[in-house]
Amino acid sequence: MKKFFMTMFALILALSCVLMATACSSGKSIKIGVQSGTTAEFFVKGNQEMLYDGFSNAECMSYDSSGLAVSAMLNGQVNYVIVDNEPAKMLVAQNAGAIKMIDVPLTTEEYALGVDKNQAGLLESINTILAQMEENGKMDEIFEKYNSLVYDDDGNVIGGDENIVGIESAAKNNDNPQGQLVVATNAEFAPFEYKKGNLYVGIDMEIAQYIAQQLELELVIENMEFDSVVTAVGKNNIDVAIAGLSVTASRKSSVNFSSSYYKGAYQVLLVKADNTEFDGKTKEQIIQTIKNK
Amino acid sequence: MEKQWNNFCRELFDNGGYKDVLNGLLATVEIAVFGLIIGIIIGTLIAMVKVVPKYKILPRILEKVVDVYVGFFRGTPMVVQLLLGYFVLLPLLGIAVDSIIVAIVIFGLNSGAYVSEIMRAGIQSVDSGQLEAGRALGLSYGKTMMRIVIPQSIKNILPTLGNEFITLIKETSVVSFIAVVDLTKAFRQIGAAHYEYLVPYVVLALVYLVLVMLIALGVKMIERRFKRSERRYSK
Repeated sequence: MKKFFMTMFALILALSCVLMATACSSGKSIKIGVQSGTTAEFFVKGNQEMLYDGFSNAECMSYDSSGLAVSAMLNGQVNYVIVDNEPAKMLVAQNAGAIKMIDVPLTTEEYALGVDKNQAGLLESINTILAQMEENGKMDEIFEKYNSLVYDDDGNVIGGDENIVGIESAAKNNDNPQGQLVVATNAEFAPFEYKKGNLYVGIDMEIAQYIAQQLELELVIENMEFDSVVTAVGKNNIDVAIAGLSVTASRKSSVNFSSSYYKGAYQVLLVKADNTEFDGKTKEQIIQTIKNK
Repeated sequence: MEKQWNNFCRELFDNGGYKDVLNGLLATVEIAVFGLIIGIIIGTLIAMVKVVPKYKILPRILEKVVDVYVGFFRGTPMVVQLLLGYFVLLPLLGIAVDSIIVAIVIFGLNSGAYVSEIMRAGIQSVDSGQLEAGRALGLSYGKTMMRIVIPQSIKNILPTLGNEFITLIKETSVVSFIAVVDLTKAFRQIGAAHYEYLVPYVVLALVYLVLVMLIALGVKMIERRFKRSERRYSK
């Protein structure tokens, strides 16, 4: 019996050593935080279709929201965070003094709505409404509303939010899918979609509300993980994905993209406020600096 | 279906997805194995505290402490403990630790709470005459426990410990909350490349199933080995 225990113990010990050794020798020198499922994740890991080389020396740490990635950076769990430019501005405003944004576009992207492939009519009417919004200034008005938010030093909104009215999601009615516009989103992506109490606010949410009003449909908002937003479209009566969704080739195989409503999207680097290694550098220099780590 | 299968194979083999899957498998096994080892150590200590006679003041205080510990780790979900550890405790301490280490420690602490109850049941299942005999022969309380009672109890609780290991393996599927790439996350990433999750999720389920069946087989073999020392009353 004793012999058996000794062998077992030795076996476990040996196994532990092997596992530990493999765990420590991953060979990655830096860690970059991203939100799970975003183009930033593909940018760090590399993607052939999007022509991203990726960083072979960087470990990609995927969090559920970019806010969590930033708090991990502040605690030293990751070196940098890569995130979309508009949310980056919000994150910097809310973590004033602790982080800063290197405002150099690492990618160029466009946001569009992902529409169910089986609803060609819906895609057409959404495109018409989007064109109409551009024309009558409604789109500019919505973007302006979220650009004029004023923050205090602690990142609390202290002004500019007078015109922002929260949107309530109607209860989903599976018996009457024709009467409802069901949108999938991930409400952790300020200023495009986030929550204020139990109400939804953000640029995308207001666009969705406008579209629903024009189509005379009830707006239902389904809040889910960003990973699932694209796949959810076309299932369980979900009609549209609107989640600051960049147009990519692989997403096109799952949804039909509308015309884009925001063309200025790009990925930026967030670093701690005392980090100066990227100041005044171009995109190529920034990527090279990270690769040389 | 065929297109989805082809996409899955291309992502897995041509685009290097298998590396993530293997690393994910390693992470899953690593967290569960080390979690269980830490859990058994902590669990045994807690169980000893619980069964020790309460004549003196120190055992009484210790018992209250372990009650709080077990209460906390059994009373909150594993995901919440991971998030607390990673996003609350570490910033408070001001140290940066690899997320996989955080996962191992939290799984160990959590498992310790469950194993302690298993161990206590095991120790109490051993006839009290064994302890009395050991003490009568002049062994100290600790020695009697370590040499006589616990080895016998381990034989009794082995199936339940195997169960705990299987539970740990399956519970590791939530560690992507703190940015560990485990088996589940690796397959989710493969699905995310084409937004087709049907094949990846089915294969993921099969991998977990095979893993758990292998463990169950291993536990059964160890059990059979232990049975050899038993007196055979019948065939």
